[in-house]
Amino acid sequence: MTTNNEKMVIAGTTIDMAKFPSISEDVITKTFLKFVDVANTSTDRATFYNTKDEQAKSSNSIHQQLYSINRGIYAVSLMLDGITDNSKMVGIQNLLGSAELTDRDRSLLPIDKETEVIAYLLTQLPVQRMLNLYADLKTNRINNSRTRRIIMLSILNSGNLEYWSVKYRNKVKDAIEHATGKRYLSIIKSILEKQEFSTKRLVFTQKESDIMKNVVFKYVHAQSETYVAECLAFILGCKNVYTLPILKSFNDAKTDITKGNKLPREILEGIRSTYHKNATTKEVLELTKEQLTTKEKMQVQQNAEKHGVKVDFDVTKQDVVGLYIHCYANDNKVTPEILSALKAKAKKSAITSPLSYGKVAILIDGSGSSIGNKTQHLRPIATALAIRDLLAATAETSVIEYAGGTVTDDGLVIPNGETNLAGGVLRLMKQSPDALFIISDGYENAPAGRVNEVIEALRKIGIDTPIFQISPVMAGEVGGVKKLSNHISVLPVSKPEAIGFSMIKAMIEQSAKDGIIGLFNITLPKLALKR
Amino acid sequence: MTKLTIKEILKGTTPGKMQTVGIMQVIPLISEIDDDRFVSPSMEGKVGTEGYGSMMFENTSSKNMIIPNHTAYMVKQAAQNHAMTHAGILAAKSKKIYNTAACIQQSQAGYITPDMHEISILPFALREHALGLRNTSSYNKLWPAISEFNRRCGLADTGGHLEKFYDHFNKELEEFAAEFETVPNQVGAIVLIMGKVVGIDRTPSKAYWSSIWRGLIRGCYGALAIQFEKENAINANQINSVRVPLGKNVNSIADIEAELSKAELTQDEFAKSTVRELIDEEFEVVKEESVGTYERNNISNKQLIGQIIADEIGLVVYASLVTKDKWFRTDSKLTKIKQFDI
Repeated sequence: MTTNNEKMVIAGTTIDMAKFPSISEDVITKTFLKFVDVANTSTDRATFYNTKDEQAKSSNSIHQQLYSINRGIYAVSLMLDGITDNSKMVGIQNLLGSAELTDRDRSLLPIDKETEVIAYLLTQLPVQRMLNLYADLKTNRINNSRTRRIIMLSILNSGNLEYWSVKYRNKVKDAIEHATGKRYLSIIKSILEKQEFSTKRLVFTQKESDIMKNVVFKYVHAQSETYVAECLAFILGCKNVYTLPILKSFNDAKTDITKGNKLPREILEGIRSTYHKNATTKEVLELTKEQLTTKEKMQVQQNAEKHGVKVDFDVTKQDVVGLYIHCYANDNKVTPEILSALKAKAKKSAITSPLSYGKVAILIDGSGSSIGNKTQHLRPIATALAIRDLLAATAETSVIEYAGGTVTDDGLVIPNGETNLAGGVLRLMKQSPDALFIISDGYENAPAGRVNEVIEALRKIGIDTPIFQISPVMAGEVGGVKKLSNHISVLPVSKPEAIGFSMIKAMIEQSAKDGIIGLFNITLPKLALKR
Repeated sequence: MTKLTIKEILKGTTPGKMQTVGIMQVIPLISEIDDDRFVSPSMEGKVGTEGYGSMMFENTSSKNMIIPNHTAYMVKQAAQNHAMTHAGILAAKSKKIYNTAACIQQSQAGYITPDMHEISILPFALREHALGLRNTSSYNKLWPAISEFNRRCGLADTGGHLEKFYDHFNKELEEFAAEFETVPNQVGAIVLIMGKVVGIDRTPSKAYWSSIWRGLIRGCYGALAIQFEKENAINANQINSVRVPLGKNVNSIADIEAELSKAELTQDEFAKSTVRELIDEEFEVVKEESVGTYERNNISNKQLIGQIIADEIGLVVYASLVTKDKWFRTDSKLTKIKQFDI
């Protein structure tokens, strides 16, 4: 228990507890828990129940509430496992957009560490999202020196800059332009146009050298200046002769499509449709099959098979929810290879999970609503199955029941039917588990409130086995998740690994101060990690 | 066909397990027969408007199209929203214009571009009234009723703008629609409020049912739930009069299981008795449209009014009936009085 306002050092960072918010602990606890509920499930897409706008409104308001309590607590909360990409993007914008010095002075986290947190969060975002975030920063006119520095560092030091230059050319250009300003970018373009990259050395006048150093090279530390200069020239549309393989491939493919084998599929497809109208999609797939990311390989696999091209993807590199969605798309089949990857991933996550049981009971809501909406089709049930596997892996034995849905021989659940969970709760409790997890969106209709009645009856007869509801979707209408019963804890999750939240939640419910220290303890060590 | 009963209308279906949320109950109608001779406008084809009060349906499929009773379209484009005042039927690969439709967005100009648009069904409160005006060609015939419906739901001075209701209560309607789920082999439903039947819908197939379910539960019955709660102060005891609570006298898990089974049986019996009470009452049947061997009929009795579509052997393939306002507002004690029997 921490009661003093002393300074403490956590993972090399000094946390001045004298800056702990002076408002009531109850407000801190409630706001943090509400934030975790939302940030853990909020995406920038509509759900089965809520529109995109409703989601955004509900999510942004809760972000602001935690930020106003303490921006340091807010910043490290964004590092928790399971926080969605969308929540991270909102968070980074809030942190970069606020120039309030009083906020910084009151922050539990020193400002240089906050910048490290932002840099860490950026490494956790897929590149498209990172670039979309930079576009949002431009739209919202967030252009302070820290923002400019973060943009330049993250782009110019990437080992994938050459690939990004081709695949995300316009977005990268926009981001760099936002950081340097149009005028400087135009000057840099004219400087780079004069370079001969085949010589492997850059030739500048003194004035040009000063400009390149002050605007570009001062941010470059992980790549060579020639590499960055060539990529930058390509991004800016300079008509140089390029030597880097992907950039060269792009130019060469315009005259000979077979030379486009280093390019991303959709880029070569674009070149094919413009310069090689007689070539086929099958040829493009064949040429680029080595360039696809794992996710892309999964997405194009069906199309590739239609054209008779075999595209293999590494199942060990895909996340578990994505693998389940892939199985649904693949005629509800789980291949032995995927099954083994799912088991291995569950086992691995279980090792780092704070949960550990002798016997765990799991009840899965497979009713119609778990199918998700058009843009998140089958995501809720895929998430539920991934959580099922993780929970089962945390225990010596597990008992599993399904309410609604049709269970296939491969263990997939095809969602359908009404939500009738109460019978399942009782059947599982008869087997005396150490804990019962109900994986459900909380909407119940056979009839509504029946689970609550059953749990009340169980408590009345003295059965106090912990019961948790894990909700794989966000119910924005209640600013959090929809509860099946007031007698159970609800854990909203969008990724199985986010179950670790329960630990922090439990701590913070006991003592806001201890919970926040725990929060710093499990997040700050991550700053040492690289992408 | 001049006389008909619910028994014949629901032939081939059986009641499923009742779903209960708040004041509303839904008894799914299940069928092993999946009659795939028909599509809905949400499955294939195009719909648009060719004048105010005039709706055009184009059936591009090789099957017949049944236009659900009181189909409504609230579109995002700058065009006057429209609704049908009855059901309809189109032959395969054909086009038809119904000049009996109604505008439901008083001051919006423009025609709906032919396309597949999201289907809705008129709110319960407008449906009996709309049927009464089904033979009248007048684009503004529903405006006073829309205005009155909105007023009863707490929205003043809306004129004939139905979209104002849906915009205002969008959040409630979305949640309401999400509460109820379709079950395997479902082709229809009997919908009740506080145990009183308010509507009966049956469709030819699972696919057809799935294609109109959201429009029906959100647009028609969700609207009724909102209106009912606005007009009546509902308390938990009233809700529990339909929702069977678990018995409290339990000492073991086996006891709780027994109470759960008992509650489920009681609930099941309630659903069955609800259907039983309906089945013998005869309907007057009036033929209104025929396409090939299929007929669209208007039917009514003391309690219900609506439209059905029957095939050449008199088998009802589609029905959409609503409880008449007068019956709905009469005390259940009076409407449920049993027939004289010795």
